[in-house]
Amino acid sequence: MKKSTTNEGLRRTNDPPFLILTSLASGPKHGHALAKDIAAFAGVNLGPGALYGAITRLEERGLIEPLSGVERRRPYRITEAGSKSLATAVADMRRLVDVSTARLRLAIGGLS
Amino acid sequence: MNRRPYDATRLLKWYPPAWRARYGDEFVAFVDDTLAGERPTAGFVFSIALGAVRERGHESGLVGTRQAPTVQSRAGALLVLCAWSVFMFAGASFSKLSEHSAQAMPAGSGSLANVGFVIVAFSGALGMIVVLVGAGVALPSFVNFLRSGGWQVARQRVRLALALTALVLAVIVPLTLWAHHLTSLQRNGGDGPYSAAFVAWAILIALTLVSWDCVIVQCVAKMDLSPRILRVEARLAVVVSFLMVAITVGAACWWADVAGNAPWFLQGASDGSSSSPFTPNLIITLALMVGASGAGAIGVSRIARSWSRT
Repeated sequence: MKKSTTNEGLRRTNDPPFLILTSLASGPKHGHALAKDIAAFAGVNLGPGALYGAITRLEERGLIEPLSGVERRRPYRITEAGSKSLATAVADMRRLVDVSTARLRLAIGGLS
Repeated sequence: MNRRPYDATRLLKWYPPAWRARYGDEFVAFVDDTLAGERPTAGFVFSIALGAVRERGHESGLVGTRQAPTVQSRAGALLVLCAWSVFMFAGASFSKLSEHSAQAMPAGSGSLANVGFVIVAFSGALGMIVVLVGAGVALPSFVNFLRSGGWQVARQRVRLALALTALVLAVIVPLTLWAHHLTSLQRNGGDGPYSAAFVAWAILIALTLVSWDCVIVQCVAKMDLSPRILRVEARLAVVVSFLMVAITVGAACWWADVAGNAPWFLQGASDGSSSSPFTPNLIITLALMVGASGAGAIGVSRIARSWSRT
């Protein structure tokens, strides 16, 4: 899994389950489509082991489910439990972003 | 010249059978789509290898919580047992390296080395007893396993392990006769052909231990063990794991004391000469001990987690 970084070297989120749930929130996708979508919106190239490891765990936990496949390709969709889990993760991140934003303003205000 | 398209099913073989049955086709399709006829990069193959190891860990109960606590506990105990077999190899190496060290120490020194050596010897003997008790406890289940068709499952690996064991034993006689004609210095690296033969024999021993480990893992994973036997085996595994840590600490104490007071002994040089205490044999031996102790600790953590789930 190639990790995306900012210019200052701070990592953006690259947790495979989170990225997969985010991708599936816009509609069902099979493995290759998922990897391409994640690379496009997050700049993260998930390796085959990481992608299918995360798909396996998410399916075990009932957060995604398979649909009937087209040839060998099997699409997945996010379940209701998966949507709730993603919403909780996003809310946690939003709180963190709010704190970071508020403190950053404070720091910039202090410097000026 | 057209290159043959890359066969992604080769990579799939690293995954456990149950995972392949569920995800195999779509995984190969994903690999084909991603590679688009190109050869995979080393990073791509490494990602698959890592994923396969992770899935095998999940399936065996060594990783995650997918498996039942009994499977987790059994996997933890088996990991400790495999780590102990590495310790047997490292212990034999330490025993050879530390031979006659007490005589090499200057008068009035060497108490820490002595304590370390006693800890290694005592813990090693105790560990062997505990492992044998564990084997005795599981013996009736093993006999039942063989009677109910287990021999068909394990016979190929047992035959290989027996053949390797016979080879190891057959080599002992000529190697010992050869050693008797050599001086102590020649036996400890001074004679090239003897050293090469000894290393080859050591590798053969390591392969034999690995082959027996494979037999044990294959059989124990399929044996019907009652919850009571599993609990006993898990407790014995915890004891063995602690003994491995004790042996590692004892060996490190011995090394530190000998390195400080008689570093020439570690190099097989003459008394009082200036020598480095870092010899490849000792470094490899200690590294094996540390690695096996780490594996034992992982096994114990799996056992502890299984207890917390029941």
